[in-house]
Amino acid sequence: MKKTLNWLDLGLIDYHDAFKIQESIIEAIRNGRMNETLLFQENTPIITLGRGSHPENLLKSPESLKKMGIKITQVSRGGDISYHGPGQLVVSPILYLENHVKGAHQYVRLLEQIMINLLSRFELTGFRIKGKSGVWIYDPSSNAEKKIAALGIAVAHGIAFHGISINLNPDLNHFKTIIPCGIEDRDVTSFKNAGVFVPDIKILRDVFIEEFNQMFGTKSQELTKLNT
Amino acid sequence: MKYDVVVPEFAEGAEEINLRQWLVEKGATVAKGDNIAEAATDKISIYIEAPADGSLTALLSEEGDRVLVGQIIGEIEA
Repeated sequence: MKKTLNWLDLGLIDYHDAFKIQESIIEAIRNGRMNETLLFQENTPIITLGRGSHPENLLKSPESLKKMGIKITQVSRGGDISYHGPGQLVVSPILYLENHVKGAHQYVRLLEQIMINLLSRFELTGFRIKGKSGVWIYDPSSNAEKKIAALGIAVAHGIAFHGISINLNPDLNHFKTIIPCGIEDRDVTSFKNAGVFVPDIKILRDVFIEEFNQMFGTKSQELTKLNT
Repeated sequence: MKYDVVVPEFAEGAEEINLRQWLVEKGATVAKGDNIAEAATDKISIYIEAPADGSLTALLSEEGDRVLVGQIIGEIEA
């Protein structure tokens, strides 16, 4: 029998408010009060510093960021520095790793594969670059590989959280305030920048759910009321 | 009774795991299930929990050390 997951879409939300919800879901799953959950969100502009952040990868002062309407915060996921903002879908699968994979490393690789499969549904050819996490596409106009989806997870008590962000049509100028993920020689891109059809973010969410279920042999139901 | 603090199996497959930080100090009183250390790879943070109630009596790995799945990195005296 297929395992049933919840999915919940928080819509456009402040990162901290969303993380409080994520924490309450983790606790509810840990205590057996909730199914594993795919949590979706779109954040108001914010730079997040992962546990592996290097200060030199932040290129603007806090004052300049404030003027641009971008907040900054330290977060508990792995990885370096990241930007989140409107037009970017953030997905946090909150689940027991042992229910689905052999370990965290395999899980990260499968999340990347889900992204590659998702991109192919929108006529984008995603791929991995050895030694650099996330999913990339080739940009013919600049003859360069550019990152379209970033990734960073954390695992506590066997439960994975945080996850991936997919650039649909965020303001790419906001990424210029950082060296995304600490990768200096490569740029980020988006569906819009790649010149393909830009679906509604809810369509992207639904396709992600389909691809996730396909990969992990799960089925998903919408959580209409959060009762952690 | 002594309990080992171990890098958990779900970190398996990660190419390089480093002990990023101890979240409590040596000698601290901890409860079973508390996150007491954090190990990390490039993209994964792994929280290591206390296996029992007690006192963290030994830190066998230092922050920044490379660690392996199953490695004992500390001891708790119950």
